[in-house]
Amino acid sequence: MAIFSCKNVKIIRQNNVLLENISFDLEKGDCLGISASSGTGKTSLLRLICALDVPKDGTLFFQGQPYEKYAPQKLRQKIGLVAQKPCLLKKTVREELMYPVRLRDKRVQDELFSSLLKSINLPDGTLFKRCAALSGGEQQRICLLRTLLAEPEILLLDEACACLDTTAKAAVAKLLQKKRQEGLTIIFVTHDSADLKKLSNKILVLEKATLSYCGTTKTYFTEEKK
Amino acid sequence: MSDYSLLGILILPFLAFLVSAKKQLGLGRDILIGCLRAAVQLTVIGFLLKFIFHTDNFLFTACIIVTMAANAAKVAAGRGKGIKNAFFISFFSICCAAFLTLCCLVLCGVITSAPQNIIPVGGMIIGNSMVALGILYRSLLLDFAQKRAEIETHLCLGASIAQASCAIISSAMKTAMMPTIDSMKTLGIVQLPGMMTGMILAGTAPQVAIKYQIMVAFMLTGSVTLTTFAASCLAYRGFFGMREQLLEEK
Repeated sequence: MAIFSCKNVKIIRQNNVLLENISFDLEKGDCLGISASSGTGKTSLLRLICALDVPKDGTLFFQGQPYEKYAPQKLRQKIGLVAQKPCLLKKTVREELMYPVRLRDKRVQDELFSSLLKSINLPDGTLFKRCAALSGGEQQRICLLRTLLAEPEILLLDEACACLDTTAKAAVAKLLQKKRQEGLTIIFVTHDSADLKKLSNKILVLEKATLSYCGTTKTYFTEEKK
Repeated sequence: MSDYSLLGILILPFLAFLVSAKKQLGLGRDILIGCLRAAVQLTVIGFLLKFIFHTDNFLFTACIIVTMAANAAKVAAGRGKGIKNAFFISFFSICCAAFLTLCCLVLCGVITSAPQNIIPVGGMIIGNSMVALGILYRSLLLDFAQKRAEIETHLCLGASIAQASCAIISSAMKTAMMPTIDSMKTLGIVQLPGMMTGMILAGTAPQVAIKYQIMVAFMLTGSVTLTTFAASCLAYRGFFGMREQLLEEK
């Protein structure tokens, strides 16, 4: 059974049809790369998937059940979004990482935070830094860790690696591959075809308000060569 | 104070009228209408109160309080354009705060349940609650518009809409309550408030007037807190849709 399905979804923004007839399925552990030019509705699609918006038409399914069957909060606990622009909510990195853990009434040791920070190429001391003192790339990585600590089943990344340097990007890619092997389903938006090739096993291309390609990464790059 | 003396002090709003004309503030019409409305409304309410105090009927007293609350709710709702069901939220919160505060005052033996006690004290509670609601609504509207990203980040991490709005609600309540708390802090050292001044002018001993003013300060702090708490608890939900999604600004 697909972990996530999208059936004939239509998105309208300010009386303009942004996307229509969007349908695709994702299995557990899939990594879907979404490619499209700016303003084609990628972010709007991700907002629909994480239940921040409601589609004008069509239905979204999580684990075979339509979204309407779930309480919105329960659904958002299963689907995490890392937005394009980092948005940190607390004063220090530790408080920031602790927030999703506290929301679930769980406890974690600082050692876990330290190992996670290390896995994305951030030094130990970052944990006690003020969020405002972090660079854009550091903030983006903290946002990613914070979302992972919320233990989602589907992770949505809206150009979340855009402002990272090559080393940090490689570390994040490694962490995401590890999480994927543990069963995390990932949907990411990118303009970089190298990222698509490296990370995804499925690709979705949006063009002129609809799907121009939806299939495996292998087929996509084979067709492109031709 | 004679009627002629009262006519004499018309010179003060006339002065305001002159300043407005000289500085081209465009407030002349408002000052004129304000003076006329104050005089007419207070004269009418004076006769009405005389009748109500004379009849000493609970139903009449309740009607007056509810009418005051409805008018205050209408004004507060005007400040909260963009807040869903602003009138009903304002009316409900003002009525709850007025009822609880008046019950507390009567049960503590501070005032009696006679209309001459309930109506003026109720008026003070309702008036101050109305001002606090106006500030609360403006703060909520501003924060919900400016902090969309923060709210949606909370939601994406699995927070409920109450958890996502918590910081905004606290900040709005704080902003709405601060004027009342600041005014309580400065009582006697910065200002001698209206009620105390009125009682002293009417010949009451300052020690007695002070007791009543302390009662008013405590009462307003309680009622403003109750009003803003009830209103913010009801108002924040209107910023979210059926699927708990943060609605677009209108």
